[in-house]
Amino acid sequence: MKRSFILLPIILFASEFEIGGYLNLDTRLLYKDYLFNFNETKFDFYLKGSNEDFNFYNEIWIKEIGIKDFSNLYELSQKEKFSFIPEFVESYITLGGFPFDFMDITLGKQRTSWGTAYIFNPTDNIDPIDLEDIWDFGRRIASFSFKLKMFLGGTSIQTVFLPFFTPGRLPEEKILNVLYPELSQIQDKELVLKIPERNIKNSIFGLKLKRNILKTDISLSYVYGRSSLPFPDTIRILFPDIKMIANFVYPEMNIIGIDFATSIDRFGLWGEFGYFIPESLVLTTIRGVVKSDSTILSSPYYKYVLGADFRQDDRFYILLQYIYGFPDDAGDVMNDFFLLHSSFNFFDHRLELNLNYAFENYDFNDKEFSHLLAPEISYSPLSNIKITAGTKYIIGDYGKFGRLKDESIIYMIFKYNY
Amino acid sequence: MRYFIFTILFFLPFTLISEEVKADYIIKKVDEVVNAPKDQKMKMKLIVIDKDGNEREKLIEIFQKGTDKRIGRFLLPEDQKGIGFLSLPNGVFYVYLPAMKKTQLIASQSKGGKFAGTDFTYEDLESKRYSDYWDGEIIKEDDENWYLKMTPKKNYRSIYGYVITKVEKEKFFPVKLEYYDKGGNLIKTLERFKIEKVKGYLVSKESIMKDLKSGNTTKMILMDVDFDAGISDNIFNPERLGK
Repeated sequence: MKRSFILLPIILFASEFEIGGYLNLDTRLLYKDYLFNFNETKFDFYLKGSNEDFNFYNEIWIKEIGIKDFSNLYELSQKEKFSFIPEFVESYITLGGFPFDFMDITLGKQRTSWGTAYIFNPTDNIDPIDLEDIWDFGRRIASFSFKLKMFLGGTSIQTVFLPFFTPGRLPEEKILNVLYPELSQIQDKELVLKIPERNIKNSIFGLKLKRNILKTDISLSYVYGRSSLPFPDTIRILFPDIKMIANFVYPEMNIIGIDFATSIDRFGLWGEFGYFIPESLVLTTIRGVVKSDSTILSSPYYKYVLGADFRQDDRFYILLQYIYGFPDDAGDVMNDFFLLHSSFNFFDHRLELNLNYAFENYDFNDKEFSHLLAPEISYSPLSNIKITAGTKYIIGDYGKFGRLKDESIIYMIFKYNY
Repeated sequence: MRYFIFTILFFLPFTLISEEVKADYIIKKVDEVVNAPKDQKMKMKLIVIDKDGNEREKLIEIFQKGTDKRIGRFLLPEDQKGIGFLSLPNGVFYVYLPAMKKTQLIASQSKGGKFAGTDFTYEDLESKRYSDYWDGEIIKEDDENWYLKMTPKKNYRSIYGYVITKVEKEKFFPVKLEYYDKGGNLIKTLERFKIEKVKGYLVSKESIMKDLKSGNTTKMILMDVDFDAGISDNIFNPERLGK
């Protein structure tokens, strides 16, 4: 209600409006036991308004995950088991050229998307990670923030302030084991979160400088924040392999980032490097009266991405990317990932074939490998309708991909844009 | 007779030079006419017709400042709404993809790619003065038009081998452009119609781009145009492309 009071006068001032969005129906079938495990109906709606000096943007999702597990009779009468989930994707107001012509101020729930790489961005650390859909890599949740952009000559300076910390969104429980394999063995778990207090000390701050030099976009960034994924700091095992209590914390991070994007001849090239200076974190494990400590985070670590792409007219596109460290990786354990994305278009974009492949490895050794094969075909009978069928299939048992092996899927997506 | 030969020999180089100078002069005059407004704001309907006659409509708004800054955004169709582009001096070109909420720098030599399913390449959408990037040569002339063969200057890497431009003598307005690839094959034509004055500036209210390779045609209809509206330089920034 309060929000609509704020928005109403702003909407009245807007001289141009735009509405749009899409309906996305996504059904997935697991290879394992041929179970349907996902049937998401997502309705996206946005309203955008602007005049010369400001614009506002509101985007909402109304989602129903679809597949529900019922284990007792009473659950069939629980409303929440059947309800839609509404969510503000973004909702912000931008004052352009305010207070000076070379400044923009944006306030509200907004995405701060930093970095030049494809999907995996080690410098994109302002907004929390969203792992709700484990196959939608790189998704992040927009945060309530105050953003000031300044344009000085060819340099843009961006400062972002998030008054309070918001934790990242985790996947459903059975997939949590991918992130926390140490928890998978124990049936009865009590997992306690220590969310940082919402005081000014725990506010998040980011600064980014960007400039185009010799046809190369170069950015330097700094973020003072926290890991948006929790780390265990105490594990108390009450009955071995039966019951445990674990405390999770969100360690403080200082992150320095550099990224670039350029082109050489017909190739686009980019690189992104994030240097993470974490608060030290020691995991205390208590088994009966025996207590042991192990260091999880102590010294700085880094992640980086290098990539290149090539486009042949609008019929063929190929992208190659090397990733050192996944978004949820931290500390000394960093795996190597290689990603290939290729896209072929036929019949004036009506038919599209995407061939995607990725592998995961540790230090390029020849033993510890897992592979992800993800071909996909799309057909557009009308320009605003797209029907897609594809698979995400994992081969190998190593690493993150290996732990996701049972989640290999065949999927079908129907998307209608309006 | 000796006097006549001397006169011919004396004036011949000047005649040759003056043809080149004349071509360069025409290109500069074309620049002055096409880029006369301080800034431009326009809304355009694009009708893309494939070789089977199927039509798709697009709506685009474009802002331009001076001769080398242009920003555009798709308003329709629904699946392309919000896709934007920004052309800056020295061939720097960005595309904004709303699905990813990200602005991408486009590789300079990938500009042959078609933009968002139209017959326009990224290079066609760039804002630039012809005289800065193209050398001219008059290859034909009649009472109403000059026909210029424009080849890319040495330091400019175009996707085209050359462009033959038909320039109306009376208005110095380029009414037809024929695009040739590096092998000398005609690949595309652009024709401009309904040339009218708005706020004292010449503008084509309808034009047709034909892609001879694919057989597609893109018809552009100018819906709305304004000149010298005082557009700020600051909107031509990749950071503002998605807004």
